Formats: sequence, C-alpha cells, structure tokens
Amino acid sequence: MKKEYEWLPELNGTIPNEAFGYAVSVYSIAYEAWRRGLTVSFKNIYHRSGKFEPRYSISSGDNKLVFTHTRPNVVSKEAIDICVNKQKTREFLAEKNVNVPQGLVLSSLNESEIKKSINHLDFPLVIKPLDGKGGRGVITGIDDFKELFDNINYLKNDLNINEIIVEEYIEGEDYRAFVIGDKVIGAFRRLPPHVIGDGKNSIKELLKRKNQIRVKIPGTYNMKVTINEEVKRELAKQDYNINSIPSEGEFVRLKTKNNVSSGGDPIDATQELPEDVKKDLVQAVKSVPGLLQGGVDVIYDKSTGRHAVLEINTRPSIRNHLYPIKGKAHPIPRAIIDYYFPETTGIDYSETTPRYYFDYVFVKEHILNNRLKSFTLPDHPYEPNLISRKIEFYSKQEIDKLQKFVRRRFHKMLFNGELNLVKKNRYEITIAGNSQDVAYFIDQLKSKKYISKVKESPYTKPIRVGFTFNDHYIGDSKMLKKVSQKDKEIRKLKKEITKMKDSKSWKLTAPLRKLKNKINK
Amino acid sequence: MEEQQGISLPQLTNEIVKNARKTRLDSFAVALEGWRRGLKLKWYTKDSEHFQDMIIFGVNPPGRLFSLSSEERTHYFFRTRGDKVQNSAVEIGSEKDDTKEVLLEKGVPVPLGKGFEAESTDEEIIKYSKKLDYPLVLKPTNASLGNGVVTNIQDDEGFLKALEYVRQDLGYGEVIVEQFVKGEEYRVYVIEDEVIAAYNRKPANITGDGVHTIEELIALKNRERRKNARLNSCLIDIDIEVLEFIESFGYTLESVPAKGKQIYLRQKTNVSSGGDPIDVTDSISDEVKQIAIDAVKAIPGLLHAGVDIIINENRNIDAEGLVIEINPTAQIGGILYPLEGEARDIPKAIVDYYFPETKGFDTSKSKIYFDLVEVLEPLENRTALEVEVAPAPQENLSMRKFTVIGNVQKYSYHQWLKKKAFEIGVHGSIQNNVFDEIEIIVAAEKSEQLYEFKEQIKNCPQHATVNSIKEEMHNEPITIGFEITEKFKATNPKSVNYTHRRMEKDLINKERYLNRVNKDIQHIYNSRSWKATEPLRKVKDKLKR
Repeated sequence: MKKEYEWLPELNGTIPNEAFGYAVSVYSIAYEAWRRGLTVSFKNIYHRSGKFEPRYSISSGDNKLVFTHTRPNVVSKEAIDICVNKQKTREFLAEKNVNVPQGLVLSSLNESEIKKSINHLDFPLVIKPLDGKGGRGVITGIDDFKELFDNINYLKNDLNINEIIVEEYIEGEDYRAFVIGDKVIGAFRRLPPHVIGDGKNSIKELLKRKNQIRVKIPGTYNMKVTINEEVKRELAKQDYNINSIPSEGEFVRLKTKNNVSSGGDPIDATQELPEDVKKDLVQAVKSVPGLLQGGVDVIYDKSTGRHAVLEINTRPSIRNHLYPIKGKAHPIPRAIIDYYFPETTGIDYSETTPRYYFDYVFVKEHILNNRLKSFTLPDHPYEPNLISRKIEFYSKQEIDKLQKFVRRRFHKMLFNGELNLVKKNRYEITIAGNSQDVAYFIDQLKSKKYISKVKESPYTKPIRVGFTFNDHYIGDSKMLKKVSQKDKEIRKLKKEITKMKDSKSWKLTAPLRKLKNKINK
Repeated sequence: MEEQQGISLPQLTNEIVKNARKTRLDSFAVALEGWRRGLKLKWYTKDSEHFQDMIIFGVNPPGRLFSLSSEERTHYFFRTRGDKVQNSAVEIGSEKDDTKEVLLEKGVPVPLGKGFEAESTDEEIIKYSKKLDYPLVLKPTNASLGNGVVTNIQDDEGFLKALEYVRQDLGYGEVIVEQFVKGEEYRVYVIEDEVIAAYNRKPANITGDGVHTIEELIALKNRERRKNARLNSCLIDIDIEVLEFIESFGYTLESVPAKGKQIYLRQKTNVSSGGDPIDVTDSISDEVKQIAIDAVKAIPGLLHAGVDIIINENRNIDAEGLVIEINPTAQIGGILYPLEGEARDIPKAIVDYYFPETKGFDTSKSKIYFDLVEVLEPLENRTALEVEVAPAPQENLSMRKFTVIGNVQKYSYHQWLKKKAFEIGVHGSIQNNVFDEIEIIVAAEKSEQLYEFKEQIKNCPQHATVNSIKEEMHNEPITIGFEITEKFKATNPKSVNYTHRRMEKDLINKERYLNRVNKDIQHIYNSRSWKATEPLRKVKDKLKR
C-alpha cells in the first residue's frame, strides 16, 4: 500500500508504547519541551469521577506553566467557562463577527413556548446540550416540529439533559482546527470507519488488516473497528456483507458515526480550508478573552463556501493532527512550546546528540497507582561527543549479576539506554553516552571472562533515557504452557464430570447413593 | 543459641523496613516519620540542584537524599543530617584531627594525639609517638566506618607494624596517633541540648555453648543478625583481623569455647563490622551525657550529631568520658534495632527538631508506609530526577481483608476495582489466589469508605461474578496506593521473578486440583451405581449408532 501520510519525524520512535492512545497529546507536548532543554515534571490529579489525569509542568527558570492535557494554566478560568457553555461561546463569537449558526437556549421545554421562541429559525435544526462534551446528545438534521419535540423529550427523559440549545443546521463537513495565537496550525476532518477494496479480499479480511495497522499507530492505538450489528446494518444498506469482496479502490463505509474512537479515520484538511475561514478561526479564539489557544470545530461547505464555527475546545486532543491516515501531520506541540516559550524557538538538542526520549511507564505505573505524587524528568542529555551504539554479546553469567554490572557502569558514566536479554545467554545493549566512555565500556565488556563475542555496531534509533533492562526472552514460556495445559485438562475433566452427573444412569441411581451415604453414616 | 533481640519501634517493623538497607535505613526512617506526619516527601538523585551545596557522599544508588516540606518551608536531608547542619561543621566532623582540635579548644575531653599529613615521614610519626604513653591508637585521618583503625598498640614493635599496615598496606597517608583509652564505647545521639539516645557497641562477639566451634558459633550468630532489620546487612565476616585477634587469645576457628564463655572477635566496635548495638540511654551517667552535648555545641553549626564517647577507665585523663569521634551523618540503625534494650526514636526527634509544629503527632500506631524500592525505581533507573511520594493518609486507618470467591480473576475486574478504590479514596491491593479466589486488602480513613468499597466488590461488572465475600480484620502494615499484583511485566525483572515463583506455585496447586478431579472421576467410575448401569450405557451407545 502506498504511504499517503507524512508524520512528524521527531515523533518517529520517540513515543513509548505506554503513551500511545489518549496520552499521545500529553506526551508529544512534554517531549517537545524536554528536547529543548526545558524542565518537565508530571503530577497526579484524581478527579472525583475516578478518572486519572496527569498534570505536567514545563518550566524554564521562573517561567512555569502547568498543563492539563493540552491546555496550560495561563488560559483563563473565564475563557474556559465561556467555552464550556455553547450559548455563551456563540454570543462572544457573534459579538466579534465570527460566523456562527443562529440559535438559542430553550428557556422552557413547553411545546408552545418552544414554538414561539424559535420562530425565527428555519428547519432543518440541530439540538444539543448546553454544556455537553463530545457528541453526546447532539442531534442533527431535525426536519419538523414533531421530530424536534420527540428529540427534546429524548434528551430530557433519557439523557437527563434539561438545558438544551436549538440552532440552525448548516450543510457541510465537520472540521477541527488547532489555533494558537494568530495561526491555524492544522486542521483535520474525519472519514467514517471504512475499508478500501482491492478486488481480492473480503471486507472481513480488509478490516482485519486495517485493524492491524491501526493498533500500531500511536494516535489510534487500541481503537479497533469491531464487526458488530451496526457494521452489518451499514453493509447491508450498501448490499454487502462481511464476506463480500469490494472492487479495487472502492470505499466501503462501515459505520455512519465518524468519531475517531469508534473507528473513524482522521485526514489532514489544513489545505482544504480557505484563508477567510482560517481568519475566522483565529478570530474565534481571539473573541474569547484570555483563551490564547483552542481546538475549533467548524462546519465548512466547499460548494457554497459557507462556514460556521460551532464550538471551541480549550483542551483538545491533538493526536488526530499528529497521525492522520492521509496527508501531512502538523507540528502542534512545536507551535505550543514556541508560543509559550518563544526563547526556545528553533532549539532542538537532538540536532547534535543522539535522539533521546523519556519513559512514560512511570506516569502509568507509579502515578496511576497513587504511589507517587509527582516526578521530574532528568534533563535531556546535552554535551559534545555523545554517540549511540548497539553492542551485542554472549554471556552465561547470572542475569541479575550481569544487570548489576551494566547498570553500575551506566550510572557511573551517565549512559542512557537498555540492556536486552534477546535469547538465552544472548544480550544486546543499546547505549548513548560520551564517545570515549562508550569505547572504554566496550573494552571493559571485552575484558570480562564471562562475556564473549562482543560485537559493536552503529545505532540510530532513539534511546530512552535512564537504564532499562528488558527480558525479551521468555524463559518462562514453558511454565506458561504448562499452566495453561493444566487448565485445559481441568476444564476437560470438569466437563466429563458434569456429563457423567447429567447422564441418565447417574441420575437414576441417585436414590441408591443417598441410601448408601445414610448407611455409611 | 537463644534468641537475643531488643524491643524495636512498633511503627518500624521488619516488614516495613525490609527494603531499606544500611544507610538507606537511616534515610527511610526519618523520611517515613515526616511523611506519616503529613509532610511532603521528595526523593532526589545526586544530580538534583538542591544538593549542589550540601556535602554528600556515597549517594548511589538513590535513597539517601530527600526533602520534607510543610506549607511554610522545606528542609533537605542527606540521610539523618538535615540542612540546619552547616557544611563547615560537617567538614570539621569528617576530619578526626580537626574535630579533636576544636574540641580541645573548647575544653571537651579528648584523648591526646596528633594528626600527620601524607607527606610526613614515618620517622616523624614514630618520634611523636614516643611522647605519648602506651597503649596507643593509629588510624587514618579521614576514613569512616572504622576502616584501618588499629587500637591497643602496646609497644614500639606493635606501633611499627601498625604504621606499615595503615600507611603502606592500606595506603592511608594521613594518619592520627593518639592515646588508646580503654573502656566501653558509646554512641550518643544529641540534638542541641538533649541526648536522644545512647547505645553501647560491643565488638563482634560470640558466646560459647560447649558444643559448637567458633566458626559455627559465628554462623549461628549471623543467622540471628539476619533477623534484625539493621544487622542483617552487618554480618560478622571471618577475615584476617578476626583470625589474628582470636589467635592472640589462643583460639582458632576450630576451638570449642566453654558454655557461657564470651569471646570477642575484634577490637573494633562498629556495628558494620559485626558489633552488637545495646541500648544504654537510661544507664549512662549525666556527666557523659553532658560531655556529648558539649561536644556538639563546641562545633559551630553542627546542632545534631552522633558522638562517640569512650568511658575513661584508666583515668590517665581526668574526665568521665572522652570524645573520640563526631558523626554529623550518624547511622541510627543500631539504636532503632538494638540487640538488647529498647529502641529510641531518633527519627521522631529529628523531625520534631526540623518541624516543631508537627511535634506531638504520634506515628507509633501507624500502619501505612511506602515501598521504598518501588518509589525509588525511577531514580534508580535515572528516568526521573526527583519523585514525590503520594501523601500519607492522616487518619487512623481501618483495614479489612476480603477474600472474594467467584469468577473474579480477570484483570479487567481488578482494574475496575482499582478505579473504584481511587474514587472512594481507599488504599490497598488485590492479589490472585489460586483458582477462583482473590484477596483484597483495603485500608480507609473512614469506616464508611470500607462499606462503600465492599458494596462495590459485589457490584461487579458483567465480566465477573462474585459468589462469596469473606471479611476479616487486617492488621499488617500496608503500602500507599492501590496495587494489582498479578500482571506479568516483562520489563521488570523483579516482577518476572515474582511471577515465575507464583506460576510455580500455581502449577503445583493446579496439579493438586487435577489430581482431585481425577480422583472424583475415578470415584464415579468405581462407584457401584456407575458400574451397575454400565450395560445401560452400552445399549444406549449402540442405539445411537
């Protein structure tokens, strides 16, 4: 398959698996700051809802910003309050002549009152909760009053939403743009979950392949499209089933909803938006005092050129900007750090050092387990003559001892990297450090009696800071197998017992056994 | 050999300190005390800017540098020494010669003696030694832990031998020659005007039982020491010093000492070379206490330290005791876990001193702690520069152990429970037992939280079913946070080992279970009714065909 996308080179290989998914936004911003030599630390914050959310601070001397997801604490509280309230957002935007849909908050849910209050609006209409999040409770394309009242009742009774907005429905595609300062850094739109035919494979097979790719992409990690009733219905509409083989290049839609978490695909759409729309997006963020940045939702109709800003998200996820399946990724993290730490613009330590990245497992493990309240990353290594190497060797030494030996050297000579047990007695070290120290370390390895076949080669992949030991060799796989085998045997035997117990002859003879038990007593 | 253990502090059980060894124990005890009082606790690597101006040494692996903060202020600590102690005082304290000079000046009794530079010739030193009366001591100027200290030198020949050993063999150029004072040696811990603790350190020793050889007795003694949180890292090594020492009394390793006969194995009294710590806080005289206090006072900016005092038996100097060393970064493990007597709460005194507003906060019943190894892991791997431990719950914890039976071993269920634990605000852990059983330990500040959590256990999502919950009181110490201890983490060797062991256990259990099921089946097969109905089944099978 042709590669239709271009992602950010600095994030290639520098995002650890633990940061895949929702955390990509946080990691990529923290990473951008870190590789410029800024100090980054993570803190844990628990919401009453039980949702875990790391806060992280980025600082340079006295300038310290604390971020929640993608939003720094310099975005004012008032601005956040305005953006949460969709009606207020509309008012502030309209005030500054930003295109917004006509609409209002229903002051009463009484039918005749509603009719009165919306008589200046034309069908089709949209209803949505005043302060909803995501797409919850948003119903579009309402064509008449009956439909309107039915849906208002649905929001009221089923979703327990009482503050409802009614607004005009605008034809066009949904775009999400990231705006900071005077610039639109990037915009994307979403394709509904789909597969593209190759004339050979079934939809089922195509989807399987697509999912295999999806899980490897940091942005869509863990968001597989599963074949469910919804998908089957959608296919049936197009006269397909999961075993149909679509022709080459054919776009087969799998779901109507297109949000990325249910399998939609983000595609870069920065070029699709004309300048006047972009200007309006910048103006939208400016209209809200103290906002500085935001993810702006806009509807734009290519054929009519009409557009309207729907809402602004103060802490948007940026992963869809970073990992479009089509088009170019836009460097949102870079834009954010440039904006808040302008003195670091253009700095990138890894221009002269090996590429480093930091671990995220500790945010997940320690902070998530509420063991640590905060932790500060070590500084990005920065000194002349840093190199990275791969060293392979063979050793029968006990793993613990070998690990201790290597770890001690890593500490002493300030190396970063990993010791990997690849196969039985086979090790691999990826290392970054001062070139002389690394050479000395390799000599030390060679001089050890219990280490042999030391082989050194260049290494260009990113290096994780700190020392990590990875046991890629699962020596315990035998044990695993044994355990699962026993499980199977037990299950089989259990089945046999139930079968026996269920058999007529056993049931028939039950009275006999009871009698026997009594006699035994 | 009978067990010989003193009374340790209830809030510092062996379980709690099991991962804090040697000087890490000192740091951990102080840090834990402050943290339990609600102070903010942070740990650092040596690269942290906060310690650039503090005299520190031997700080790798991490676990020796930390800070405690209240709302108002932060204090930084290196082991037991906080930032109130000035660097100049640490410098004086680390040079035995300087210490003595300052003490002499301020009228604190010390053994007479003199220090020599590395450039000094042996002749100079010998010449000076003639001015002092034997017995003498020869020791390196700045070696800690008692390395290279030769005591009780009786004559010129011994002195020459010692000189060669320390200066040539060990390579310590700078040495001190001083009067050897015979007598019991005490380590007295002083904070300003108060003696917090005193303990006596007996040199490594064994007591005969008329059966075992000295070598065996040492092994037996080491077995006892392993049980003591402080001493398990300070076993008695049989080295050349021990061999020579016992030989000088006419013993060999094969000798079998008479029952009740106590035999010393070295001259050195350091706990780290096998000495026994014995609490003497209540029995030392006020004069000795005053000398210790005066010694700390004599050094400007010292404020708190461990003072080594020798009780002056031969009275060639007119004082109750003589100060031989001052340790601004004193180890306190010995007095926390004495072999005889009662533990003294130096961590409490230190935290009281630095944060007097938290004085009176009683942590003696505290069951909460944090796993030092886990907390320090990011520092140890250098993936973090500093870490802050999650705050300790401040109320008395009510704890329960729930044994839950059912289809409950799914990880997703455990994660769901963990989420609930955080929502409700309880600490604890989940552990898979065998088969269909899990063990949940929960600690809560309010008892309502316990009930709320118990409700949640039953309230499990679809992927799990709970058949029964057994509730028990739990009284063991528990770590902060909420942990699921079942997931196999390939990146963590500890977890791999742990999982391996667990799997082995699991395997054994499964095998047992298998046997049981097999027996059940056999039982059915062998039962008369099964046998009797055999023809029926055969007929049925035939019919099916």
